[in-house]
Amino acid sequence: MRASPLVLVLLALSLCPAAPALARSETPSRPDSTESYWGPIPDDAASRATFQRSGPSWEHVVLTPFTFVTYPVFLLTRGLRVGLIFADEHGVLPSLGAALPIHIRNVHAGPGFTYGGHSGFGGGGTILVDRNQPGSDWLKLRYLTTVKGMHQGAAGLRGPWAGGDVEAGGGYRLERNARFFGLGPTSRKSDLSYFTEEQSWAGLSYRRALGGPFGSEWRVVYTSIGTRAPRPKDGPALAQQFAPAIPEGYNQRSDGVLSSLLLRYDHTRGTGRPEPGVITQGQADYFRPTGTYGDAFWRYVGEAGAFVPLWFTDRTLAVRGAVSWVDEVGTGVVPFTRLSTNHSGEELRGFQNDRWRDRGLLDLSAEYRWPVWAHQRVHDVGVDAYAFINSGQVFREWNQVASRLWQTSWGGGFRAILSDGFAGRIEIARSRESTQIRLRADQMFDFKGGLYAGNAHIAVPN
Amino acid sequence: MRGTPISRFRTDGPAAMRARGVAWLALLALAAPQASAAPLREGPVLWQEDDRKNVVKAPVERNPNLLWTSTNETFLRPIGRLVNPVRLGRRVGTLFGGENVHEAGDVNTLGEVANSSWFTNRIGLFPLSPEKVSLGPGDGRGPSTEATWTVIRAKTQGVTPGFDIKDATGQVYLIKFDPPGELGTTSAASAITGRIFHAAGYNVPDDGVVTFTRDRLAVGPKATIRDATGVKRPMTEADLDTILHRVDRLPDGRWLAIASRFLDGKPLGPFSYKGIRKDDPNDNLRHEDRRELRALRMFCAWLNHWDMKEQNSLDMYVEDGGTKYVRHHLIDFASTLGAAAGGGAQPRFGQEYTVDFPAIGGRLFALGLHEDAWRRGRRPEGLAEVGYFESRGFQPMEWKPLQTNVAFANMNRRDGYWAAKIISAFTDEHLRAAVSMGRYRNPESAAYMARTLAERRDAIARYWFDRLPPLDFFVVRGDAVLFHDLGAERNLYPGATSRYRVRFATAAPNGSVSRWTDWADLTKTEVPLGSGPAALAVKGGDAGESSRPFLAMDVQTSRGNGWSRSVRAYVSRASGAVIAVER
Repeated sequence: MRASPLVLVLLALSLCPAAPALARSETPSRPDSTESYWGPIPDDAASRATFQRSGPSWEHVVLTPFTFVTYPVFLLTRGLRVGLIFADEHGVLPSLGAALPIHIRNVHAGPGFTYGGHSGFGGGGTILVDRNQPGSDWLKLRYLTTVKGMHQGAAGLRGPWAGGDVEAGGGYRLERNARFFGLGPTSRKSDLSYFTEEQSWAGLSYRRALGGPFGSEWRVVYTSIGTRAPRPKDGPALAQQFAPAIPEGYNQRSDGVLSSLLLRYDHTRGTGRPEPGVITQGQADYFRPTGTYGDAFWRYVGEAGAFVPLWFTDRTLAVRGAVSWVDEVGTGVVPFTRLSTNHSGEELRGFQNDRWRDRGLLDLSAEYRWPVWAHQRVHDVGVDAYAFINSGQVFREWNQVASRLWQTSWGGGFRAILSDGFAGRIEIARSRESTQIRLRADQMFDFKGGLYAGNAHIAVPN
Repeated sequence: MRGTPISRFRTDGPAAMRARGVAWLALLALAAPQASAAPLREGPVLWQEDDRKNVVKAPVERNPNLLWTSTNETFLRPIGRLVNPVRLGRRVGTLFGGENVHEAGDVNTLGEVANSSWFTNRIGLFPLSPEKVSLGPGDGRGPSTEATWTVIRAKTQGVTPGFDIKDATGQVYLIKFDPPGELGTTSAASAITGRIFHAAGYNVPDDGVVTFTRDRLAVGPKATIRDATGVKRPMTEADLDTILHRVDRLPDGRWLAIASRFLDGKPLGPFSYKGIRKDDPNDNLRHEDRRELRALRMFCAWLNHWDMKEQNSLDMYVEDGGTKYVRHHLIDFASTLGAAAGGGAQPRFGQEYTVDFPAIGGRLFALGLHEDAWRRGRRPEGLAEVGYFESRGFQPMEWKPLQTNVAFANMNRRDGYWAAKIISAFTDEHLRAAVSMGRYRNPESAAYMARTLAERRDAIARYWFDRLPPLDFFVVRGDAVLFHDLGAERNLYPGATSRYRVRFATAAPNGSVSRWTDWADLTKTEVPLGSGPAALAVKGGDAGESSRPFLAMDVQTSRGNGWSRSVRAYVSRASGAVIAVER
């Protein structure tokens, strides 16, 4: 071997074992005074030593540059430590954990966040007023704005009445970069065009259980949807892209009253991890125009689903089928903004919101959920993972429903379950056209969000 | 070998490449098993750590923030260990038989932990009667019942209220109750675990299960209470009644609680499992390098002590015979043996960390096609006083506390073996004696607990004794070396016939040995020194006693499935004493 002796010497010196950690005494032992399995255990100076550092020197040689390089990370952790301790000792953290951390008597306020769809990332706030008991809130005000120019404000009131719940709500939504790809199952992604959509609504709803798993909801909502040209930076504009065939309702305002009746059968329990059960819902809406544009139409929506427990604990297959259909009265005109579309992140998830639009929409979804983290116990606080496949299409006439026209998306995500149920999900969905990432606080069959919650798609279903 | 002059040393070329290769091999070799790091020397074996020297000024009380320690232990320290280059290198070294972490620093040449302010050798080294185990650190009687107990302080916050009392002898006790609906669980766990830890050698408070009626208690004139809003005010009898009204009672109307005697001295807060207490001049060895803290992992696995945060320890500034120093204690054993201090024990406790990334990742990629065993965990049927504690499926090295622990992460094989040696020293009688102090009302609960402890004990012992042969306690008696086969003595291999063989060589102080003799079979755990292979080694040694003053003795055992690794004992040729043991 002809390696440099210097290298070997330096190597040997740096890698020599440490000097013994024990400072041993040179004095001879004294007679034993205690008998153990080893014999007497003396307690004299000769058998006593101070222990200090342990570990061979080479470890310190290896660790020194590592410590130097990672020192900034160490400083960061010290900063985190100071911040965390300060926040904990001054009561900041418990309020951060609450959805509405600001409390002034029975008024609660807090921030809100949204991500997903073409509105992008955004935030806002919520103000709740309750009757000094959790879950007894009766007034909600919400406002959200996103980086891509979506603004939405809503106010809702609710209270018990005649054995059920009454909700009153109103709101306004402005979407500066609403999108239109054309109508029908063969519309093309390359036909993307932009427009500005403005919605407002105000209405009343009455929700009442009918006994057992049956429930009903009546709703009367004045709605107004207007469309116009997009912002200059959003192009191509709808009018430009679809110049030969501008869809009905563009650059018009559709005002009217939407009267709805909904019947629901819900045989599930809980919202976090629904127990096995079936849930179905049928809804019929009648739109009567009050303005100068557009005609009356009927709209029918049905959805059905089931939660099927699988092997082991908390493994569930959630399956859902949904259909919506807009039926003009006579030869009436229905603005394109009131047609069925995939907007909610529940239908055709791998596609952009409002990618598919027509009179009818059919969607089938299967989602497999399994637990990946439990805080303490099964069926309780934790995080579930899920994988799904989602398939469907839009159609103008029922005879257009054909497997060759179906669009499929797939993906997965994580669902957070807290002690009072489902808290939110983050999902990535993929289709042949795009990949969508969504952060949502709602889920399949989440029927809680009505007029009170200020959900625009409940108020102005399309 | 002719070297290359420095001026002509190059960083490329065959010579430099060979040097780099040598460096890497050396690094790997150092991670591989080594001969005794310290030279062999004649002289007394060290049995006492000199860490009880007088400390004039009491160290400052520590009060670590629970949220920070949880965050640090759950996220930051595990990531730090994952990217630590020394640990990475050692992990590679384990492929070549090396250790995952360097040796503990408070171990003598026989592989034993020296007595210290942290640990006192008891059942592991000395015969201990079951009665002594049941007494624990005190006299086993709890608060004196000669007069009423004077309540001096109370707390109402938290799931389980409690109060401090002073008995007729002036001793102060903390009285804690079981969580609602769990009468007898945490109180029994505290008493039993405390006794086991004490017998093992740890410093623990004197916890005992007590029962009392209302007239045993009287609120002292200066008693205070901190109410639900945190405000401190004078305590009244009505306050005491309110506390007692909230807790469960025995069928005969008495209350059952754990009485924990206040430790002597001034409390200094918990100790950290990492580093040292800088203002304690006696604390010189990093805590994560102490064998008794590393091996605590196995004791906690045995007892399912899942709540191993540092807040469940306590340093006390004590005075002992005029000398003041810091003594280190383990405290609060309510969350052991399947129970939970705040109630709501879960089968998950002891199976995973609070945020267990490998487990989460495994579940994610397994797509839910595998069920964690703990999800099927059940409490024993009909035994309400026993929590989630069983021996079925118990894997010692799979056990995890809720929070990672840096000392536990430093446990190596020898630390694990040392713990197994002590744990296996508890006989069934010892365990029954400890369990009896839990005062279970249902004898089936006591029987179940004792049986489960025994089975988990055997699982731990077999795990480590299968990896490091349990040949121990080598002593010279007359002209022979006697040793113990702990596996056979403690009946861990029933039905197996144990065989032994030995070989000898002379050894120099640096551990180098002469030519080994051939293996010689032994009929018992006794090796003659004046004849047989020992004599052959001395006779055939190529150096005299001055240059090879020690006899190295390799012993192996076989239970019918091949010979084990060797345990090597060194005997001084001059004094005839065993001076070191390596395994």
